[in-house]
Amino acid sequence: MHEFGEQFVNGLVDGSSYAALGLALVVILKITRIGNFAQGSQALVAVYFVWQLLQWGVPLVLAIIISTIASFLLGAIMYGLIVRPVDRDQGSPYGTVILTLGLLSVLEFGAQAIWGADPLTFPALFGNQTVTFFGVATTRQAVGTVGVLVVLCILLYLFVERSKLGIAFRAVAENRLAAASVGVPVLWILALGWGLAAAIGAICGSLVAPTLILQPQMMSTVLIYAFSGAVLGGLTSLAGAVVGCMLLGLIDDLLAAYVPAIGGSYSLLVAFVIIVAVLLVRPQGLLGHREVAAR
Amino acid sequence: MSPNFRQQDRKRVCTTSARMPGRTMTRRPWRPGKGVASLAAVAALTLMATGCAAAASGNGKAATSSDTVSAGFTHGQVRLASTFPVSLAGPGQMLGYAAYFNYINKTQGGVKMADGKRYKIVFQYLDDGYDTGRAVANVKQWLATYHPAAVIGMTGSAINLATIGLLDQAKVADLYSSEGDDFWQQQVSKYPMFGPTQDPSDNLWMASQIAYIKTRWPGAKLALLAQNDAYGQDITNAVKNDIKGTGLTLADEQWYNTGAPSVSTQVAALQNSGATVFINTSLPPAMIQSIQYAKTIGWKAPDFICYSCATTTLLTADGAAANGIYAPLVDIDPSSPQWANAPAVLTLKHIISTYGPAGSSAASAEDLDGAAFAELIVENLEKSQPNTQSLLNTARNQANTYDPLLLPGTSVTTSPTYPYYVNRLTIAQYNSSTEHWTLKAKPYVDVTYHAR
Repeated sequence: MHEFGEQFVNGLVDGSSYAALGLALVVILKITRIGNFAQGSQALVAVYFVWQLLQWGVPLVLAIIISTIASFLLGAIMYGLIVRPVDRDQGSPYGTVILTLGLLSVLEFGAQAIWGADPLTFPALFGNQTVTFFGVATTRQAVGTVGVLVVLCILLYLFVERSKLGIAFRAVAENRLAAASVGVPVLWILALGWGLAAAIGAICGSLVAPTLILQPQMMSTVLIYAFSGAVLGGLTSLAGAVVGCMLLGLIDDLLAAYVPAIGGSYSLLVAFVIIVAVLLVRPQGLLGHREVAAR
Repeated sequence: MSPNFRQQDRKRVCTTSARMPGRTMTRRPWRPGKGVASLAAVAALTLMATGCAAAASGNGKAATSSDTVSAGFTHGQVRLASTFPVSLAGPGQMLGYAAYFNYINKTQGGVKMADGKRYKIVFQYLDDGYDTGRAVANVKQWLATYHPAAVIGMTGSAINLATIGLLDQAKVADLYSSEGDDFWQQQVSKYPMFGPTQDPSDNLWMASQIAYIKTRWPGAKLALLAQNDAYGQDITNAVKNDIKGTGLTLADEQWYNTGAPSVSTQVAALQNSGATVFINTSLPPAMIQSIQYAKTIGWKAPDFICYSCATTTLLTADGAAANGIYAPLVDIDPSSPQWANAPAVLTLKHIISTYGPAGSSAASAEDLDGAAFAELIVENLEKSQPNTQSLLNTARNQANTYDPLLLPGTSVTTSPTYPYYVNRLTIAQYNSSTEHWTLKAKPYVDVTYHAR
């Protein structure tokens, strides 16, 4: 039972790493309808910026705040200067896909060019001390990361669903032309959406960096897990992204631990088979909205 | 996007290196650094070790296709080339080569070979991004236009396999590639131009660990963490072979995929197997994660990490969790305060700072590693006639050749049937507070080595 608890907690902790990025992916997708493959790389650069600020003597919390604000601004600017020209006419969706894949490479290699490829020590905001629940050990950082994710998810839900600006976001996501015709500043809303997602990425990236180990490829594989988890949970649902990613982490880890024929080598493969099976039954994902899936 | 240097190929762009990763990154895991320079190097960078103009000017004319007998040794030059994942691992090792060759050219007028004549060393490298196709294209380009005597320091089993046929056909030596795979010892007779590598054999460093464990913890139950690729399979086979008849048992083996975000599940399973010794062959960043997680769950089994992971840079990322880690060492780690001011290291630092091309750094372990291998290559050239076969024979038949970064008491020893540059290494234990290694045993010698 102790071992199961240990592996269960491992699954949740791994899932929280995926959910951190999955949340940002869904925010940007909900608002702009763009699948941003550069989301992980943006978060990576933000984490490196935090690390740089730490080297300059800035306290960790302040460094994360500065990096989050900088990420928000850069995300908005990136949309206005780079993404918008491709996205403007909403022609082929492949244009933005290729663009964000290109940004992924530029940001990842750029980070490596500036900070090198060696793994770097990144401090844990909540500390790396071991905490034990019912005999199962994990770190304070892991618990804190899950807590922040839950809070972020609630705040984002309230923002998108209950605030006036959130209504504007949803209007732009639904129909840009109609939103513009009633006075919604579409360009600003889209840029704000990119900025918001980048800021979330910065916060979440800073939380998972001590666990994933800060190095240029830190977010590469996580991006695949995050996208997959978000699809499983529902690309239109913030809570779905978190739940889907958590489930993916659990499935992956428990299969690896308890099905020797699968093990760590094939657990992800089997997890994807399960995802496909779920989507065949429920294409919009576990918590997604059916009408969006029907588009 | 995760570059899979099997970081042994790890030793991949990693990966993953104290002398560098990716199947093999370099002698030690990668430490790509020097970003701006590395990006600039994505385009074909050409460095003349002479520090002068282009290879085709200055000291002599470009070689022609008629240079068949001693191609690579014409016009008073010896031409060397490398294809390397510069955009992933950084240019450090290449800049180290260039710095040392430039030093020889500037201070000695070139290398004095066994025919009594001096030859300027011309060195060029291209980035392959750890992509086999690009590496093949690079080699073809060298063979068509540059006619090198040898290609040096290639990284990756796939790249070596994809290019060795071309090099065999063109009679160009493949020297000091980053390889420790057992495959090469089994197949070396099939590749007449494949020279010694710049890594010890995977079998050697694993056998040294098993031998030490058998002595120190008789009857120990082993837990094995391995990467799910050819490197991991190579190592796992070595472990299973080496424990036969020793009284040691394999309690559990766990695998992880290259690029997996976490290995905590595997480490927890290994702990729960009741194993008493942890054979941790994972590569960064999994290696760093596994050490941290073992500490989190309070698993105190002695942890033996892989040869290419034993660098201060990597272990520093683990902080106090790395205290007491065991590893097989071949060379000194110039990034450790223990050896940063060793005379050999200071000499290489001086050479790099004085003769290194733009972007080189005397503080970089990769640059120092490249310069050390360049010194070894110069020693080989000094004992060779000016033709590729002679150089290859020299490299394959070394007895106690000096390498400035090898541990005291260790030297380069090769044979035609043993394609690795050393045949012995030593188990050491790491102290995280002082960043020092303590040698724990006498050097372990590879019994599969065949003296000439």
